[in-house]
Amino acid sequence: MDLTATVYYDELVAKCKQGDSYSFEMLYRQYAKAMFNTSLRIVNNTSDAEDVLQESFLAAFRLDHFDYSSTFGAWLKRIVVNKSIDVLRKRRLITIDIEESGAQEIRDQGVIDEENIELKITAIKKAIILLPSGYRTVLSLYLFEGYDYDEIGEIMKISPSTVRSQYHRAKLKLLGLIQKGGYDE
Amino acid sequence: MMSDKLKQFIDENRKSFDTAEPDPRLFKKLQLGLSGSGRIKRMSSPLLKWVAAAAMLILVAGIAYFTWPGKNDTAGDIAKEIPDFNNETNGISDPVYAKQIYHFKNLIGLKQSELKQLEKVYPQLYRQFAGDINQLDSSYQSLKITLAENPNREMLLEAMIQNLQLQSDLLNRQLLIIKEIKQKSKNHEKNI
Repeated sequence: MDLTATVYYDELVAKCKQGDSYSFEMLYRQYAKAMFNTSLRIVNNTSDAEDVLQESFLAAFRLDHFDYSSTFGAWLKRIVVNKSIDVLRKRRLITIDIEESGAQEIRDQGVIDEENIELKITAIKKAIILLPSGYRTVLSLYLFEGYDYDEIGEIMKISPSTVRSQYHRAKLKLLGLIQKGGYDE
Repeated sequence: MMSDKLKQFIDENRKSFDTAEPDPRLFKKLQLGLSGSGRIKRMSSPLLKWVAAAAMLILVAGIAYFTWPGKNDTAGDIAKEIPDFNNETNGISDPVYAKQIYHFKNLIGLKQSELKQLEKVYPQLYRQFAGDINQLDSSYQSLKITLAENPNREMLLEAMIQNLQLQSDLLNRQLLIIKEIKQKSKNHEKNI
């Protein structure tokens, strides 16, 4: 995002803080779709992702803790990610995943040759849906949301080295699913 | 270490992965949620914001007067001044806006005459209060003038209505302050 755009959005945020409905709508139109997709990749369910989106915007537009030190988009995304992970935690999906996922299942998949796997958007999207929640979350945060291992560790309350190993396992699992095929159009 | 061809591919095609759309009704729900909590209100014009800021200052000034000692009053009946509908809504073709504006003008007229009754008893306070209302009203008058020249009529009309609401609220506060001062001075007399 260039500086002009950042200033424009900061201005919208400032107006929003004053209760301006037009600015609120502009910010929603700008961010809703991306945030919805971010949540959807983690919670893997439209209804939960919509709940997360609604709660996040409500929380974000109280704006009490927003101090312009990050962009509004980055701040909102963090709220969306945290709320999405909360959904998984409530469903007790995420901890089990992280603790129990071992190297065995990866070995069972056989050899994964990343260089020779043809990557297609549709195939990746379909394979992500099939990943266990913990893998899907780590993978989404690293590949799609641009967080590094340290940031993901902080978000998921695990060590950066665990994030790193989880990411590599998640990626192998994903590539294995793509290699097996059947997810392409 | 494995090269990250996957990350590179996703970086290059990032936007194509965000294809799901949230339910359009979600925005309406959010608006309701926010307006329910009093967070979001219509305040689109800079002029209107100025008016609101002025109103806040005026309220603070009004509260400062709150502690002033008052005298007993002998206010008579409220003199009713009914504003002329055509005069007040001149140039407003939309009947809904015209009705709203007339309604507020009527209310404000009633409250102003109520306040006027207190001029003899609290001359200084009355002058201050009337000055505050006049400040708001001059913003209203400039909005009215702008209305004739401006294409974005709806926004202006909303600003005008909001200004009248502020005037009405301010008059309410002023009347309340006077009522409290009267009450205090009555109690004071009892205690002597």
